[in-house]
Amino acid sequence: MTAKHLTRTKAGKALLSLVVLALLAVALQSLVFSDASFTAGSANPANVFTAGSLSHTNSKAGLVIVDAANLRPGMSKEGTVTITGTGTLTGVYALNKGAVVDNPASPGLSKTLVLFIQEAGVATPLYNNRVDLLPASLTLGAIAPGASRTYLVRLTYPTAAANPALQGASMTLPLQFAGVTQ
Amino acid sequence: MKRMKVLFGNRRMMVLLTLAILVLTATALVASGASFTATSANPGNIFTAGNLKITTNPANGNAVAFTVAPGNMAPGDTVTGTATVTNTGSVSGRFSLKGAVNAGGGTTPYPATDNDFAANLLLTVTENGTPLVTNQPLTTALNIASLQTSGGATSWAAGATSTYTFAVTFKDNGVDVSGVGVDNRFMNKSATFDLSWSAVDD
Repeated sequence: MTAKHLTRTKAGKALLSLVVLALLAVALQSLVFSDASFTAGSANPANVFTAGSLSHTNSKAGLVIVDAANLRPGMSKEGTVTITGTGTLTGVYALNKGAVVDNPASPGLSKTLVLFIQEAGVATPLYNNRVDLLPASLTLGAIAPGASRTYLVRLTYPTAAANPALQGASMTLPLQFAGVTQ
Repeated sequence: MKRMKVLFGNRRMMVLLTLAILVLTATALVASGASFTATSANPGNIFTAGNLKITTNPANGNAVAFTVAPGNMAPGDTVTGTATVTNTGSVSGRFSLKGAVNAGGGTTPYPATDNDFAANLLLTVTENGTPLVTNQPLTTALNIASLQTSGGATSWAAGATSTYTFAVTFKDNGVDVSGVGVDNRFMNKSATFDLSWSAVDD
């Protein structure tokens, strides 16, 4: 059956129509059942979270701030300590008192000596009273990274409080500077 | 002439001759293949494929910008960032979000303690103000189904936009009996997570 015969005879035309319909059916099936889909994507990677750090240096770390040996009535001895923020975060610092040890326990040197603590450049002292009345913690304020605060610590044996029973007595006053992130 | 007169004067012969001519003519009409035809045209049928496209702010490949730089977190800190996602294609689609904690790779090793840091980062995600996950550890929050299928249940028309807010909180675990911060172990540690947005046409 030649191509010319297909286009010119009724039978040929009918056959051509069937072929076209068959092709359309195949194409339609491909469109419906191929499971092809459009997809798209985007990304926001590398969202990084890093913890900072809180640390400080103590200019008298591990040492006594005040060497108050051989104190006599009417005498004062003092020392300074500098706290410097060395971390990446600002901390709120406090001066904490450890367990005070008097030897002898009575009459107790801590009940006689006067403790004076003042931050350099600040008119109002942080504390000015007997050692035994020092609260457990004194708030010092915020210290930012790289910032420093210097404290004067003075011990005085008041003349009016002189007590012969305290000759040779000793007192241990542990102090700790502690910071907490805000 | 006399023979012709004899030949065509024969009436029977005339009829047969006429029929033969008619038959030949009919045969010619049937077998010649000639037909009437008529045509008309429907030109210009154009078929164009649509497209599905995601546009994000921040742009593809960039990290989310947080209101406070998350590079110096302290226990109790919360940092917040926002991302907008838009269907900038021409067809509708179902959008979803997935995330993964980057537990390695890059130039910085990722030791076990950093995994712990990620577990102490609590993630809250909202979609147009509606919470998807709330205060879930970063190590598990990004696998939560509600986050992965956010938007997947509904179709986004072309041009539709959603805004996602990510809040990350460094969980404050307080101090131990000695007064030392429990979270001191995380100082200078890092955790990273990746976000990926995807869409499939309806």
